[in-house]
Formats: sequence, C-alpha cells, structure tokens
Amino acid sequence: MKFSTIAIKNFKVNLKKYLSYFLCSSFSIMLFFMYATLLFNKSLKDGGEKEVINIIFFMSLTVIALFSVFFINYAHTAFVKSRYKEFGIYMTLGMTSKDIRKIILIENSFIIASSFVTGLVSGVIFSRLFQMVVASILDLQGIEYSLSLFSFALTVGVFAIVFLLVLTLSRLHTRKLEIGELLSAARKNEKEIKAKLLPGILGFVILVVSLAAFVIVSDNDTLNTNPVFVIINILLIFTGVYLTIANAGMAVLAMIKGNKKSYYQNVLLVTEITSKFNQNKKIIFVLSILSSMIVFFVASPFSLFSLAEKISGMNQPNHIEYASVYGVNNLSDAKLAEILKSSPTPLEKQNRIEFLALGFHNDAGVTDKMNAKPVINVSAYNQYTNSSITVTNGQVYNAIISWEPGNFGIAPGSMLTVGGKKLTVTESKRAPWVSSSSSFLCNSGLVVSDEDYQALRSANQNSVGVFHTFMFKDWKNTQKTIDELTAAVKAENAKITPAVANGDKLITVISRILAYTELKKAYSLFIFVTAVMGLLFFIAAGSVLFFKQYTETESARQKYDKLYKIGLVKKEAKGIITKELLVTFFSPLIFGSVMGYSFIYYMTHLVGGQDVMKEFMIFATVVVAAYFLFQSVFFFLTRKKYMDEVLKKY
Amino acid sequence: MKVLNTKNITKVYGGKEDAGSTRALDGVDLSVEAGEFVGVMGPSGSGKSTLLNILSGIDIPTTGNIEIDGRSITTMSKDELALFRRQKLGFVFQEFNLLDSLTLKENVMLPLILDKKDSAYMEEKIKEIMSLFEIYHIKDKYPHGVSGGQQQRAAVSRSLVSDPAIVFADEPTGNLDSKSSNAVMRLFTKMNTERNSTILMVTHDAFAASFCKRIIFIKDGKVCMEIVSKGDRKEFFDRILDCLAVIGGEKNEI
Repeated sequence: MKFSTIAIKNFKVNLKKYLSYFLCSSFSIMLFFMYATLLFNKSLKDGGEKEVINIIFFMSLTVIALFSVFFINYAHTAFVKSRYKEFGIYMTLGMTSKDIRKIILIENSFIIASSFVTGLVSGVIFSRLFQMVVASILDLQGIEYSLSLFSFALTVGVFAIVFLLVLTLSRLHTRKLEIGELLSAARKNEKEIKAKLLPGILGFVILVVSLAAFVIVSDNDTLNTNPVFVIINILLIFTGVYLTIANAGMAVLAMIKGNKKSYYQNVLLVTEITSKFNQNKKIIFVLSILSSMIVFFVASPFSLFSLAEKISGMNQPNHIEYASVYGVNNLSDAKLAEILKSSPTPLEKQNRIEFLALGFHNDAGVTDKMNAKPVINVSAYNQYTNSSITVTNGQVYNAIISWEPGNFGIAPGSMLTVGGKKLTVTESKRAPWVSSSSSFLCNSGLVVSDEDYQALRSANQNSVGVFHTFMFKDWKNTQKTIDELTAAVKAENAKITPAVANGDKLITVISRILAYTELKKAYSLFIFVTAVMGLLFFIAAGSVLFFKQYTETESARQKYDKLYKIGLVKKEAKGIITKELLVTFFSPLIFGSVMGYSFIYYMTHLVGGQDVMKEFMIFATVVVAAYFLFQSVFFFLTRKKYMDEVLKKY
Repeated sequence: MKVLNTKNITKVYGGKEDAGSTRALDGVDLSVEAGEFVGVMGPSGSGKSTLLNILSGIDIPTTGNIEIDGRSITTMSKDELALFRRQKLGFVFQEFNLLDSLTLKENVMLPLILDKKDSAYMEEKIKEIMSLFEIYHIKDKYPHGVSGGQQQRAAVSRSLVSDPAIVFADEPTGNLDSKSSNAVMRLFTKMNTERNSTILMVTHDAFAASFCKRIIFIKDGKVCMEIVSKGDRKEFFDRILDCLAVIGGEKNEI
C-alpha cells in the first residue's frame, strides 16, 4: 500500500465532504467562464459603446474573481477542518505534518482538476443557453454566440491563481499541526463571547453616519462626481456594516444579560444567535455586500428600462417635430397634410412655432453645434409651453433644454449679443421648451420680449424658421409617418443649393418613438450585463448559505442530541433553529438592502436627479420585496431540510 | 415505594423476528425502590446501553411496559417524553454532554430553564447544588476551560437540579482517570446518601460498580444475576469480580 493509495481511499470515503467543496469550485469557475465568454464575445463588443461594456465586464470579472477567492477559501477551510480529527489520528500513527500537507495537496489536486473540467464544461453549456435566452427575451439583435480560446485561457489562468492563493493560505494554517489540537478540534470550536455593548453601538453609529454622509455626498453636485469622496464613503459604509455585524453578538448578549429573567429564559437562543454572529461575521458581511449588489444590479437597469418611456417623453416633448430654417426641411403644406392624413394614428395637435435661428457672441458658442440658438418671443413661449414668464425689452431668458446641469456659459446678469442686439440675461435654468434639443441642435433656447423679437426679425430675415410639432393619439404608432416625413424632407432638401446642404444632416425629423427605441436598446444591454450579474450573485449568496448550513449540520445534530436527552421538546428545538436561521438568512438581506438603497440613491443623482428618483426607489423596493420573497422560500426549504437532518432523534 | 418498575421489556433491532434482526433485550423485569443506588453490569453487547436508553425514554422498546414514578412512559409521545425527562429524570453520560456554548452555570441550569422556572429560584438552586459538588467558584467558565472531572461534576449537578425521581448514569467514569473516577463515584454516593437520590447506573467498571448498593447483571439481553452490598465496599468489589467471571465479563479490569 502506497501513500497515494491512502489518498485515493480517503477520496472515496469522504466523497460527501469533497462534494460540497468540489461544487463550490466548479460553480465559481462556471460563473467566471460565463462572463469571460461575454467579455470576448465579438458581436457584443462591436454592438454598442465598446468602452463602457468593457469596463462593466472587467469589473464583473474582478468581482467574481475576488468572490471566488473568498468562496473557495471558505469551502476549502471548512473541508480541511472537517477532517482535523482524521488527520490527528494519522499523526498519532506516525504521519508527519508534512505527510498531512501532502495528503491535502493530493486531494486538492483531484478536486481542482475535476472542478476545472466540470466548471468549464457546464460554463460552455450554460453560457450558450443563457445568452440565447437573454437575447431572445430582451430582443437583442446581432448577438451571436462565440467561444474564444481567450476565455478558456483567462478562466484557467485566474483560477490557477485563485487556487494557488487558497492553498497557500491553507498551508500557512496547517504549518504547525498539533496532534492534540487536531483531535480536540471539534470540541474547541466555540469561543467565549464577552458581553460588550459599546463596540456594537460604535459600529452602528459609523454605519448610520456614513449612510447620512453618503446621502449628502449624493445630493451635492460637486462631491458626487469626485471618485475619492465616493469610494471613501462606500468603504466607510462597509466598515460600519462589518463592525455592526462583528459586534452584534456581544451587543445582543450585553443587552439581554441585564435582564436576568429574559436572559435565562432565552439562554439557548441568545447564545446561539451571538455565536452565530461571532462565527459567521465574515459570511454575514460578505452576504450583505452580495445582497446590496443584487439589489443595485437588478434594480437600477430595470428602473432605467422602465423609465425609457418617461425619459424619452422628457427628452422629446413632441411626438414628431422638425425645424425648417435656412431653407432646409422646407416641406410644402400640401405634402405635409398628405402625409399626416395617411397616419395610422390620428393627429391630435399640430403647431407651427416661428423662431429665429440667431448667432450669438459668448463662450457658450462652443457647446452649440449650429453656433446659433433658437429665439422666440415671450407670448409664443408662454402659449406653447404653458408657462407664464415675463421678459421685458432688453432682456433675454435662457431656457436650458439639455439634461446636464450647469448654465453653459450663460449666467444670469451677463450680457449676450444676439443677432447684433445686446441683451441682459435674466435667468438661465432648466425650463420647458417648445421643441426638443435635437430638432435644432442646441442645449438651450432664448426667449425675448415681443417687441425685441419683432426688431430682431426684421434685422435677420434669413434666420426665420419654423418648428413643426405634432402630437398624435398613439405616439408608439407613428413610425410610418416618420418614415414618410423623413423621405419627403430628404427629397425636398436634395433640391437646395449645396451651400446649406450640410444643414439637413443636423436639422432632422425627430420623434419620441425613435428616442424611445434607442434608449431601450441601450438599456437592454445594460440589463443584460448587470441583471445577470445580480442573478449570479443571488445564486452565489444562496450557495454560501446552503454550504454553511450543510457544514454545520453535523455539529448541530450532536448539540440537539444532547438537548434531546435533557428533555428539549421538538417544538422548542424548532423555535430555536428557526430564529437562528432567520438571523443568518435575513440579517445580510437587511444590511444589503440598506446599502443597495443608498447606492441607488447615489446612482439616480448621477443619471438625472429628482426626476427619476421615484421610479428608482419604487423599483428598488420591488426588487427588495422580491428578494425577500425568494429568500423566504429558500429559507423555508433550507429550514425543512436542516431540521430533518438535525432533529432526527426528536 | 417503587420508583422504577419494568415488565418484560424486549428490544429487537432490524425488523421483527427475521433472520437479520438482533434481540438486544429479551424480557427484562426490574424494579428500583426510592433511595436505591443500583448498578447494571454486563459484558459488551449484553444490552446495558439499550436498556438504559429505553428506561430513560430515549429509545422505544419493542414490547413491554415501563413505569417511572407511577407513570407509564411507554405510552407517551416523544414530546411528552421530553417533558417527562426534564422534570422527572436526571442524566449523567459518559461524554458529559455539556453544551460548549454555555457556561457551567448555564449548563447546570438548563433543565430548569427549559422548564421556565423563576430565575431567583434557579440561582438559589444551582448555588446549592454546585456548592455541594464544589464547582460553584468556576460557574462562569465554559466546559472546554475546565478539567474532565469538573465537567463530570457539572453534569452530575445538572442531573440533580430538577430534583428528579431517578438519575440515570451511563458509564459516568468511562472517560475519567482512576482518581477522578473515585471522586465522581463519591459524588454519586453523596447524592444517594445526603440527598436520598435514586440512581441507576450502567457501567462495566467493577470499581465504579462497587459503590452501588445493588447490582443487576445482564447477559444476552436477560437479567442473569443480582447481588446486594452488605456495606463493605472491598468485599462487594470482590463479589462483583466473581460474578463477572461467572458471566464472562472483563475480570482483569481494575
């Protein structure tokens, strides 16, 4: 009988213990591989904004790799620990700790090799399946499945490092193995917990303060774009959560020990929960972060997706619009009427709003592609935007249409020369406008008094233009009309002299449906990447919990066997187990949801502020609720299985 | 007064009466009076542990009836049995069976806690019992921080804390050296004489058994012999060894 024979024999006998470790490793590899195939998917990369997608995938891969280090290390440690007694016996029989490490290494090589095979094979199958399903659900066109050698190489490379790291850590751990310690390892697993309230409160205070600070940072336009501030703040939140979790056990103990009666009555539960927090603080912490990622990753893209209609509505107040100016887009009334008449959905409102496309002198000019801004008179402005502003002679009102905050160089109080006339800027802020910013490319429009407008008009006859705006009964059914209008306008523009011909590329027919379709397409891709990430994290979090419960079953059974002999009734045992499981299943969810909400709060401030806040929060709540629901199902299933195992005697 | 009375207990493992089944107990009748200190001895595989498990309601007999403190435990449900155990029975096990997550004090208190007793009463009770067994000064330590003998004393204290009708002890000296064994057996004697506790102890250790007042020998699942102490422990010890020799126990084990 050779040394390797022992290792092989062990492998057969301990199959169950190996299985969970093996599954954890395979799962991590599969997960990583699925993302790696996305990273190297050509059609996906060429599809849209290359850099953003690359960054998202790169981040995802990093997160998965980090997660794998933790996850596999955890599985590995649990696996090695479960065998301490066996190692102790080997050592009493004369094995050196070097031999033990050799056994560990041989066994691990088996597990690692087989996890690579399983992980990669299942990764190939699942990534294909998964891309097909997601692409069809989200109606993503042009995404083809491709397997690249790079994704294999990357996965193998990264996980070689991960396993090397885990084995090195394990080696440090098993460097000085003592027979006595090994043999009594199972007995010594419970550490004494001191009752202390202060560290827990401190952690909680840090958490609350950092969350409050995060809200303040999010609200502040200069701070929320400062990465240093944001990262420090997020790290502070994590620290607060960790300290709270790490000291929760001691705090619970301290709080309840004051009251002797309730302490004694709940001594089993209290010690159970405190030791749960103490033993599992790292797991609960990591699960909290995973949960926050799940909430964030799932809620934000779906909110954006569902907001596509609203955002396109905000960006495009009119269902269809185009500007005719400088002789461009000069469609005859008859032709226009003909097109509108054949529209599948009835026209409800049609406006012709006259404006002047006037050049202006100001450094703001660099941000306007046409080097001109549309100018309308205050009566027309109030009429078509349902506003009631007053602009007197010599004044100009700057209505900002674009989404980005800032006044684009036109500050209130400054002077602006428009069409040769000097005017004082009264206000410069986000305000409604008669058209979108796209039909006549500009980030703001100007409003002047009726008198000034007349004067400007007679001085700049060539700059007179008209916004044609149309509202239909059903804007989603306007594609045909848009196509016809675009064709008609194009035909018209082909007739004009080349001097202004370039204008027709910038002054086009704009529609809400087009904007909406564009947004949806962009967000779909976002969902595709992040929601799946959230889903995978959900699975990962679930596996960690399941694995934890699984490894604890044996010692729990021993414990409840003892209690059975003393006379614990099944109902009481069930009560304790239920509450104990509630802690491990739901405390990460609570911490995670709080963090998830704060990340989403931050996110809304980056994308658009108050306008989209409500939708984001509603979606986050839906996701949190759904998460609690799923977790509850998972909780009940695990509890059933766990109780069946642990309370066999009862 | 009879505290424990059994009639014709049998236990068959692995299906009834087929070829693969094992008859662990084969019609055991025994009775224990209040205040008695009874030992059950027998060679390995004689059915000692099965008997104890059945008497204490942890295992269920195939046939037969067991009455403890006037109540038949064979008809009880599992939950009723659990309640009965924590109120009427005390246990001392070979492996102590202390919970690692609780202090010695909390471990001792556990049966009372399960029974939702008043905390002042519990404090008083454990003070009395733990002082009696000289572990009150280490009451706030955890099991892994004290010696095996101290752990066993805590286990003994726990078995008495609810003033049980009878204490069952399963090889209570099995994990201890001879000095600690001696100490623990003196505790049992103390329990028996000072507190007038009824004790039924299963052991294969003749030295430990010599502390008992009466010893029942079982072999192949049947009661085969019974001896009663005349007061002199040395003389009783010799008689135990003789009996073991007769029924084929481990004689050379002291």
